[in-house]
Amino acid sequence: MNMLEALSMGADLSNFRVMVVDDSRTWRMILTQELKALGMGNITQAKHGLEALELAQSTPLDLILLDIEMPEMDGLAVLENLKQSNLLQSLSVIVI
Amino acid sequence: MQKTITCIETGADDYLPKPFNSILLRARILSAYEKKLLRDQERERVEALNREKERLNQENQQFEVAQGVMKNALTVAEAKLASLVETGIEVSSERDRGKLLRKILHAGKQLSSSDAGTMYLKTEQGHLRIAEQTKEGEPLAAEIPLMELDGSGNRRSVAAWVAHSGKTVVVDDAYAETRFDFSDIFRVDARTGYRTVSILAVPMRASSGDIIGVLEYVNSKDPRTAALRAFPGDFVGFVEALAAQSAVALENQNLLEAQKGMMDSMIQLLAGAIDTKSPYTGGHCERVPELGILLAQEACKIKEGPLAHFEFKTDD
Repeated sequence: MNMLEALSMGADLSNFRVMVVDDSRTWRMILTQELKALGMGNITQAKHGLEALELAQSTPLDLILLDIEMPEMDGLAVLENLKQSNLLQSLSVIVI
Repeated sequence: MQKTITCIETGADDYLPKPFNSILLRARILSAYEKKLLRDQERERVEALNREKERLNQENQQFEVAQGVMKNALTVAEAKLASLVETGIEVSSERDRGKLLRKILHAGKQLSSSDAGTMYLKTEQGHLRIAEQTKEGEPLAAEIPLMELDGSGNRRSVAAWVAHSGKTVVVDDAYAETRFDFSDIFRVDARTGYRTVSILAVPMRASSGDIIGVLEYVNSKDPRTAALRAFPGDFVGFVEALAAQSAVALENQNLLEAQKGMMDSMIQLLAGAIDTKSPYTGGHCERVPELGILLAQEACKIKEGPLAHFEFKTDD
C-alpha cells in the first residue's frame, strides 16, 4: 500500500463535486478517469470557458480542474470571473 | 510561466502542468478534498455560532421585555409609596374626624386601584359598623357581629372575619370562593347587576394591638384596560401600611378628644369650686367668658379704625 492509497483510504469522495474544464476531449476523458479511480461519482465536464462559468454558477462545486490554455476564454479569464462572483471562497481550483 | 503565477495570484489553489504524473494529480485532488472538509467544518461552526447568536438575541429580547415589565411595576410601586407617604402626612394633620375617615378610605381605594371601598369601625359592643363608604347613597347595613351565635367566626362577612382574626383577607374571585359564605353579596349583585370579583380586606390595628376597624375594597381594576382582576400581591402591602397608619391617626385623634374633654371638665370643676366658695363673685366665671365673647363679637363688626382687622374664631 503506497502513501497515496493510505491517504485516500478514509476519504469518501463519492460526494465530492468536481468539474473538468478542457477544450480537448482526450484530456477530459483522461482526467475523468483519474477522478473515477479515486472513487468520485459527481463529475461534470465543460468544453470551454463560458460553459464552465455557466455550470459553476448553476451547480454547487467543490473543485475545478481548469485547463489554462483554451481558445477564446482561457483558464485565467475563467478564474478571474469565478473570483468576481465570489465562488473562489467555496471551491478549490487546480490549474492544469 | 507568468500566466500560471497570475493564476495562483488570482486565487487558484495549485498548478499541475500537463502532462502530469497521475500520483501527483491524485495527491493534489486529495488535498483539495481535505480543504473542502475544512471549509465545511468552518461553515458548520459559523452556522452554529449564528444560531447561538440568534438564540442569545431572542433571550436578550425576552429579558428586555421582562425588564420593562419590572420597571413598570417598580414605577407603579414608587408612585404608590409616594402617595402612601403623602396620605400619612395628610392623615396625621387632619383634625376633622369625618374628613379623616374619608381621606383614609379614598387613599386606600386609589392605592388598590379598586372600584369601591368601605371602612368599618368597631363599636363599643364589639360589632362592626360602616363608618364610611366610597359609594354614596348606599344603605348603611346594620351592625355586623364578629361571631355567630354558636361562637364560631362570622363567615358571611369578610370584614368581620378580618376584625376577628386580625389577618388580611384577599379574595381573587368571589364566585369561586370556598372560605366564605357570600350569599348576601350574590343577592346584592343579582339585584343591582353589579359583579363582585375580587375583595381585599385589611385590619386597622392600633398601637395597642387591638383591631379598631377594617378597610375593605372591592374589584381591583387594571388602570389602563379597566379590566377587573385579582388584587396584585404588592398592592396588599400598601393597603396594609395605610390601614396601620390610619389606625394610629384615629387613635391619636381619640386621645386628643379625650384629653380635651378632660381639660374642659377640669376647668368647669375649678370654676364651680371658686363660685361656690364666694356667693359675691358667684357666677363670675360664667359671666366673664360670656361678656368676653360679646365684646369680641362687637369688635368683629367694626370695619374701621384699629379694630378693622380683628376677627374672632370659635376655636380660639
